[in-house]
Amino acid sequence: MNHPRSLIFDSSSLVTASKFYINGVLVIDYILKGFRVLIPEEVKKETVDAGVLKGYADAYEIERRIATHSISVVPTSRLDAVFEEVLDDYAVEKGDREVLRLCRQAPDYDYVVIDDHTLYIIAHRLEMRVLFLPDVIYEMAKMEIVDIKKALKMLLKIKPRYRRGFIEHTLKKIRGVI
Amino acid sequence: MAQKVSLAIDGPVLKYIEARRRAHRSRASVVRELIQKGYEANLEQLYRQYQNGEITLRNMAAELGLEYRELYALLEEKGLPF
Repeated sequence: MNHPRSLIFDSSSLVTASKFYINGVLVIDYILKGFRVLIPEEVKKETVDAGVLKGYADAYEIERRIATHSISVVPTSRLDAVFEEVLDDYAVEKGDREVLRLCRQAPDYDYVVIDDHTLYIIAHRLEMRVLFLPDVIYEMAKMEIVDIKKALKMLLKIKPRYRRGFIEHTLKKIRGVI
Repeated sequence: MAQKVSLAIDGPVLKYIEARRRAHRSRASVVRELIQKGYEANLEQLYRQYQNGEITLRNMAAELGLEYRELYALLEEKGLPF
């Protein structure tokens, strides 16, 4: 059975996607053309509540998309004891926990989008389907949600936020040379 | 917003401040410079720990006493990628 594709977003990836425009359209809006976006409550607090207080434009953009239900805020709760113990062992913070719990609670999600390298590794080790934001852009190009030209523009726009090699690698993937 | 903090300093740090004062610097500016350098060194060390996969960005924000969004802005301002 088909279900709408869904992405769980961590805060840094969500902020980046809500900051950069391509042809007057935010990266998050290209993503919303092809995916349902889910975030835990703590990600909303970090990006919207704290961001609005500081006057960040991306915070208002995310807030607007939550208000129009383009982005869904999903409450999370403590899960089984062993899972929680693993999170305790990693000594991760509340927002990290909620992102990981949401992946467990919403098993039909397609990918969790995390740009925090340490959290990415933890999610991967927990056998979660994890992508960096540049990989989401690659997926969108592959699925023809955006054309290759736009995908390349997006990658070049977000490039300063990523370590050397990340965007270069994704560009080669999109051009089909690797 | 800047806040006034009073503190007692002794030993080699005080000697360093006095030596700088002789170079026509105020005590306050020398102390401010030392604190700023210490903060930058802490930030650098935490960023290295993050890059080494020892801590998450949220751990780093908590150590620095910052909100997550403030850390995002700080890293962006300093040109430090994820």
